[in-house]
Amino acid sequence: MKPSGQINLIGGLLDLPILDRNGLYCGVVDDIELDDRGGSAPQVTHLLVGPGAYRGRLPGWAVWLVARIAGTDVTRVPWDAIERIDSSVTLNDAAEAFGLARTEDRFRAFIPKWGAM
Amino acid sequence: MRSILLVLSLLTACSSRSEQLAALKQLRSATAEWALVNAQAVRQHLPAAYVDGMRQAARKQIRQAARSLDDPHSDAARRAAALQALPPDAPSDLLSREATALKMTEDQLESA
Amino acid sequence: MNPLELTLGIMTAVGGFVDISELVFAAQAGSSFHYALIWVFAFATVGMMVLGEMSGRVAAIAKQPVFNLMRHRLGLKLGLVTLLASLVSNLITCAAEVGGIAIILHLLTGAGYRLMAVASVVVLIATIWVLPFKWIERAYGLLGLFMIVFAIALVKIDPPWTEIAKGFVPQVPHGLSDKELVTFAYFTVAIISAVLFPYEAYFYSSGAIEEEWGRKDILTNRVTCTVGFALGSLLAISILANAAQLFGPAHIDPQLPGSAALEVALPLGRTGLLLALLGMLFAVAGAAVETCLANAYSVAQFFGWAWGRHKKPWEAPRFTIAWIVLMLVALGIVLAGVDPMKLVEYAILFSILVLPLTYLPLLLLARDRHFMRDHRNGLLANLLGWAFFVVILIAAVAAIPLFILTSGGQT
Repeated sequence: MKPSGQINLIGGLLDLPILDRNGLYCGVVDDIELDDRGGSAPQVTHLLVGPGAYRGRLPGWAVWLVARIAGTDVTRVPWDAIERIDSSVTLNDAAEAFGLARTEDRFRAFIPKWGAM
Repeated sequence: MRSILLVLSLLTACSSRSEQLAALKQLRSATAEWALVNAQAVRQHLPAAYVDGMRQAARKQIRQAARSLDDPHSDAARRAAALQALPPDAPSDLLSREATALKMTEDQLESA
Repeated sequence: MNPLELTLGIMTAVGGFVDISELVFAAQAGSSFHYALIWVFAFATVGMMVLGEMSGRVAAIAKQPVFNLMRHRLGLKLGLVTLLASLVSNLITCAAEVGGIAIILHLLTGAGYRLMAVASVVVLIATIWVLPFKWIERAYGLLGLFMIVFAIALVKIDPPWTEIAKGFVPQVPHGLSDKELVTFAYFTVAIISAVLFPYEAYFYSSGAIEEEWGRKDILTNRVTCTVGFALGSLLAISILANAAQLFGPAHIDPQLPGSAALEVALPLGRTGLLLALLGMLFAVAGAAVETCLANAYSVAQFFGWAWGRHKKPWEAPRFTIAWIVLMLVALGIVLAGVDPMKLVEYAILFSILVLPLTYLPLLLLARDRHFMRDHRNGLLANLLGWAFFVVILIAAVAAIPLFILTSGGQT
């Protein structure tokens, strides 16, 4: 489904996995940013990805614990970057274009690049 | 308050009896397994590593079970002490007889 | 449907069916209750066929593995609870498998248990690192086919086949005392848990994504799940039937994992024993790999990391670090001296508690018209799926009281 018109935020978007245009997993829809246009139906402006987006969805102690373990980063992915929504959200560009590959790149430095078939 | 204490003491008694039964069962089964290994070691020319490993494991189980028995003067505790004094290659028919005797003790406790 | 691929898939499912829990519980079930628990193995295997087929089909059509769907269906809070519970359950199971490998290697070589635990984890990590997904699964699954020696041993001892056949009929033996009835109930729950371990669904559905299953693989999935799991179950039932014939009369309730191999030594001698130990080694090692990867899949999928062994380790760095760390934690538990048999008991208990949370999102998704289109559950799949879900719920509720009442099946 191309993202236009009405969408079921909870059943059809929240907590879906995100893939970039190359099919690489690059996050989960951890929260959604809405633009309240005062009176008319709110518009989704950004997907929020990262542990910082759990605030408001988890109890305070859990948010504190997550912050200690995984930090508080949030990446905002604009709505118009979405190519398709079905069983996952597919973006119209590579993960790097949205800053969604930073953490993976940081950890890549620890993995030797040899030995695997 | 009295009924709560009665229930708690009954549960404790049941739990203690349950633990004794579990220890007896472990003791009986480990002895029987040891007997079977020793019988087959000779008959089937089983590899030494397997036979030694199984004997060690069975004797360890017997030691653990013996430690869990409440009454050190009970028949089961005396048999466990005797088993621990046997060499690893003890005769399998002796071990089988001990396992059978322990099974009878276990059945008596279970039906008590 | 490629016949060679299908055959390999079935053989992998057969060789990979038995793990340390089924080994232990099948032998104990046979020695304690003769053939009366065969029907529980058969019943649980049908459940595994139903749920395995669904998880493979959902992966092939919705192109998402179980844990991605879990979070979407349950939401963040309940999803996190499920993730933590399944992490604990799978970690205990993985540690039990690693301990099992170490015991078997100790029995094969005479080398120290702790040394063998370290050596086996080094080999397991190297295997997962070097081999692509398809060959990780196939190597252990095909080598696990040495377990067929248990079926050969059963034929050799010429058991009462009529009694074994009657064991497939649902029953509770007559004349059991109250205590024995409770123990029978515990074994029923334990066998259901051992056959339906959550890690199997996570691994199978993620494996379907790893192998890029699509619509063309629906039939392969169905055949692998039915034929493969059925034949694998027969291996577990062989262990039970051998124990009934050989251990019951000898007053043995096998406390030692190595005792299962004696079932084969008695009719087939030294060679049979060695083949049985090899079969057990590879079956349990395969399960260690599956539980470790299942945990890593769960974490990576829940948080949206790149994942999969169809990628090189450095292409999915957080996933790679996750499975290495999880395998090392399992090793740590074993080296800390926790008895693998105790780990098996706790693995069984934790797994049955997690099962309802694992299968509910799967059931909801398999019947979802939006994701599954014309491949959503038909009437039979829905009926069987929900029926088994109810059984799993009842088993989950009964598990803790039965565990306490029987001291973990020991009385």
